[in-house]
Amino acid sequence: MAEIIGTNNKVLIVDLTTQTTELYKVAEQERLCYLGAKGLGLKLLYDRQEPGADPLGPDNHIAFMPGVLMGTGAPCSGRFFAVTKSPLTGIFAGSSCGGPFGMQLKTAGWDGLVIKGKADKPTYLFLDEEGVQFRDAADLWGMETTAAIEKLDAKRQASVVIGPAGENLVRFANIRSGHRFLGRGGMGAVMGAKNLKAIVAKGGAYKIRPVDSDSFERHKKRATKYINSNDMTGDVYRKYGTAANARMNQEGGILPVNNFRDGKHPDFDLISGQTMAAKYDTSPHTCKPCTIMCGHKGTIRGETRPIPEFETVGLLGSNLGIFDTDAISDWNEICGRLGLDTISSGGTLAWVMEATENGLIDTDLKFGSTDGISQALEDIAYRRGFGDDMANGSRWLSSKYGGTYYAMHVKGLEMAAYDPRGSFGQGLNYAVANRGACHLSAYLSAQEVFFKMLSPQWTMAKAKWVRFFESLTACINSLQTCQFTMYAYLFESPVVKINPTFVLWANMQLAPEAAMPLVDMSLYRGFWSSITGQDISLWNFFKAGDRIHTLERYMNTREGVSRTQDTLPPRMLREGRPCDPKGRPVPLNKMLDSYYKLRGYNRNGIPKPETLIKLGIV
Amino acid sequence: MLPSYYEFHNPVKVVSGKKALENIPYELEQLGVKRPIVVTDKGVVEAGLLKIVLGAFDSSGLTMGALFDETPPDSDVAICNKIAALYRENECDCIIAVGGGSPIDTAKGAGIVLAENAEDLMLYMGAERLTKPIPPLIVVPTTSGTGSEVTYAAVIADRKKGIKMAFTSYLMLPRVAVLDPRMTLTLPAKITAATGMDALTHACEAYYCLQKNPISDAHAMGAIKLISENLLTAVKDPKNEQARMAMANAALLAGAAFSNSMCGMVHSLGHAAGGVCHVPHGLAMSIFLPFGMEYNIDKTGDVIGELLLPLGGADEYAKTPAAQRPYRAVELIRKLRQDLYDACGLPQTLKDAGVPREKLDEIAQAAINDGAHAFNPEEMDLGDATRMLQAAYE
Amino acid sequence: MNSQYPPVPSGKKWFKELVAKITLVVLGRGLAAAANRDPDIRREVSKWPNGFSLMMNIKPGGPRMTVEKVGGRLKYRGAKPDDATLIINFKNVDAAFMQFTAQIGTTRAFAEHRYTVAGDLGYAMSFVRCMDVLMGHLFPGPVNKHLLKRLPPMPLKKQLIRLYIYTIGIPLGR
Repeated sequence: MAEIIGTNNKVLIVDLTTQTTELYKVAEQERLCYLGAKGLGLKLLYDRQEPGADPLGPDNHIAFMPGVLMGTGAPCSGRFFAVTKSPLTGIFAGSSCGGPFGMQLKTAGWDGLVIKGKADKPTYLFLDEEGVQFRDAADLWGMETTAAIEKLDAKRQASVVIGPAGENLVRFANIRSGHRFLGRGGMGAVMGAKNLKAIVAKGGAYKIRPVDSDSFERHKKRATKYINSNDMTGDVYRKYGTAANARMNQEGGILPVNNFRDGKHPDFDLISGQTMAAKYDTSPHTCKPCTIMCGHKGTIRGETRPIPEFETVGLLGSNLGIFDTDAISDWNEICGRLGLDTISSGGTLAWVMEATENGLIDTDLKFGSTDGISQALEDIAYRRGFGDDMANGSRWLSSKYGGTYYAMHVKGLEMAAYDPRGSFGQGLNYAVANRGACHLSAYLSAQEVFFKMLSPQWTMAKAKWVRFFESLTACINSLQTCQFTMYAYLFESPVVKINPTFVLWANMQLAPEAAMPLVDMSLYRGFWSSITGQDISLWNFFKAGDRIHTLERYMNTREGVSRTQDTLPPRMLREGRPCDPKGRPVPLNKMLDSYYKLRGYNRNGIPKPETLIKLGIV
Repeated sequence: MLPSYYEFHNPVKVVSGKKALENIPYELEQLGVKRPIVVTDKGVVEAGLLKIVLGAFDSSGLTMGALFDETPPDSDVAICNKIAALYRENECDCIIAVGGGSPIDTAKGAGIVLAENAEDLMLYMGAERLTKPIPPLIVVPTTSGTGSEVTYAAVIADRKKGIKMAFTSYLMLPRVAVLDPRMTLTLPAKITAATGMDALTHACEAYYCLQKNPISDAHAMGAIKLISENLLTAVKDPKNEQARMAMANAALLAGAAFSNSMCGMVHSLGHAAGGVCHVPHGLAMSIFLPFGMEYNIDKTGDVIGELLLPLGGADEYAKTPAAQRPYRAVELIRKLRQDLYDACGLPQTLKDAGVPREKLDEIAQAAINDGAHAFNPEEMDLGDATRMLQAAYE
Repeated sequence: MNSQYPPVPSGKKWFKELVAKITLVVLGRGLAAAANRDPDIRREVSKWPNGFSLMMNIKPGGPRMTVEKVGGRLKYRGAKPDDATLIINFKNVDAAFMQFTAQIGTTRAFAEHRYTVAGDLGYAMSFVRCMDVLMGHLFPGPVNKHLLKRLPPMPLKKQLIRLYIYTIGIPLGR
């Protein structure tokens, strides 16, 4: 078997309209600047796509990008990234997925796959080390994701597929690979609009080897040790999955209940990972390879199904006033089969329920009732009846029917299951996250609520930490590895370990500048250097994160994003919650100004020319 | 909430309703004058409205001193001087202005020339510079929007010098405003819609901008209620006298409200868009109003929320929780705009209004130089204005 | 003459007039100094034509001051000139006093008709913006908080301008 030492640097660019391909060689400097996966994907799109392209038109590109860690066997490296312009938000969106497609793409010798144009009939791509074949997908079109994957996947061969939702251009349709998803931003509709049902990658042609194997093994050993010893990654998530967040969110009062009208619910434990683990007798069901193993499967209604993730039980559960995990699992299955993002589906349904309550629209859906939800999800996927409206997401619905006050989205992307009123840093994160209300952009609720290292309802130092974690996660997503490794790599290092929480709190809250250099990024950098053979200083590594984040921002501002869009749903800005005795809304503007300053944006949220020059973007 | 200090001034006698025009001779008698000059424009004459106005003088024994029907769409200094000369030549003693904003402003301008014996109007530019009242002015509005019949401001261009001059003075106020249903019946749907939105903007801004006061509030509320209930009817059913009358009254109420409590950034943006790209004023108001309200929610959300009562009615107001009201109010205005678009094609974006994107920066610059946003609750700088324009563009 | 009903001459508000007089000097010199240093004010002033003069006058005959733009720079002209391109007329000495002692902001004073503007309103707006920036320099943050709609950021550069205005601009008038 041939070997790739470090990186292959080959990106395949496929034009569906003309059925032609070209090869793009990634330059060493470009890799150092943009790392790979997310960063490189954005850069490829930035170079190729004119502003103003229709997300569902042939000019939109979609890039599938495994990172340098993929295939090396580094812990939690079984993830790949996709970047495109989202039909839900009209701006760029990236999504990370732990499905098997990434590994096959990478071991077929490709460091990236960029698709543009539009096929004139249903097509799927078959990709191996030789290149790509355009195959007729007439018999796959209309198929649910599960059936299509069964047909396409084989040994050393994995696919990304869309379901009926993607084919019907549902604006929050997702893309499936194995049992994992490129969930957010409606990428399924982008593929659907290109008449592209699936992409199959046949890998195994190459073996990926790090340049410096010894150093790589050393880092791998330390990383594994950290992951195993960390509470979150080695215990809570490993045993109970992400749904364990339900307990922590309840405790912190940030669990969304009834379309974010409250932050706590007495029945919260019914949907927690701990309860589900006991109830469904779960076992790991993860990305490959993975060391944390947060994904689980179990026996639900007599069949083996994946256990719903936290965002799913949050948005399709508590946020709809529903705590019946059997039913939530049913909907999770429907969304999976039809290719719908569970977060946006849940967010949209919650809006529909509240708008129904307020008499703006007439549906049978109501909070706390499981009736009609399965039907609604199918109607969305097939755009039947009112589903045709719902398929456009809550922003579109609220601009048509009213109810903007409680349309829980930012820039069109529905909000994930953390209420920012109990976690102000998370609020700033939602407001400024590049793809919309994405919780993972900085994920400050982890620091504020889970680990209590920052005071949730203070604005102090939040802008600094949001910026810090945004850049860090941009790096992590560009390497690419799992974002949860952050808990282990950052908090298991000896410096952090010996300090009690209140010292860390004082340091992070009161002297963020002093705390930031203490954050140990050596594992991420170590993996990068040992695999690629390129040394990267801490400064340059972090700057790459800044660069990637700012590039995405810049691309979005060219599409019309500015301060006006960097906001939160009105409910977050004007309304307190019963669970919060002080009833405080998010003081966003206060944090926004200092955030822009840190990022080198002007007061309107547009990156300043000197910032772009300093980061080498233009 | 009572402001720490405010001023309110509106001594205009309102004569409104069926056959109101026929009372003009009596009003003239009350004012002690008997030889009016009539100022109007060609549009009014062509629509046959002037005939109705003149008909109202039949059997009154009064003589029109002169009839001037050549007012251009933008009032001009030269025209003001011409009218003043006509007035003197024919020994008139009062002015009757029939028409939309332009004839009324022109009449006010001519009034300044007459009152001050002015050679150069420029000397009187600015706020409250007149020293003598203008001759009695009777206004018969033929559109329902500007509220010029009760405002003490006039904008007059000097084409030779290429400038627009703004005049404000309480001494310039008309004495009588005559609202007759016959005057607005022939107004085309699109203009009805645009001028109606203009009045709505006056009222909304008067209600939430800095110099709001209890008296202007009452006027504004009344205006909004009339507009939200009647504008669509007036557009869809042009011959509906009741809706037409309601709109005429609403425009007057809104005019009285905003001329006393001043307007805000929506007007700044509107004036700028009009100045740079000739977007009709009412249309610009319609485009910017929801954005302006949204922009101010942070500062005065509760006050804007109160607008939901006249906009949506008691049921809607009662069922919407307080925090949601301002957003609901904005939604209802957007909905009204959409309905107007469906009914008569009133554009909703700057793009549809024919503004090229390159001009946005120029408009933004002009907007922050416009006086109106001084009274806006939230600060608006150049960047804010640009953002607002971009949001309103598509 | 009936001594039972004598005429009542008006008194004089010495203190307020004095404060207004001093503040007018401070404002005039401050504005002239700031116009040559502060980029925001300079941008506004650059749009004024040469020979443009601005007068702040307190009615009826009251203290006044004028600044004039000569050769691209703003010059303080003191109380001598009696006409200007743009005149800010405070209706009475109390109105001026309230504004000068930071009880109300420039914008609010305008909204409350505390002063009238004679001249082009466009320039008046430009002047109001200059005053807002100047207030930012002259008064400390907590005072400005209720004077201005939005507090301008005060980076080091602006602090230095503030220092300049107080130490050189106002005392030396340049």
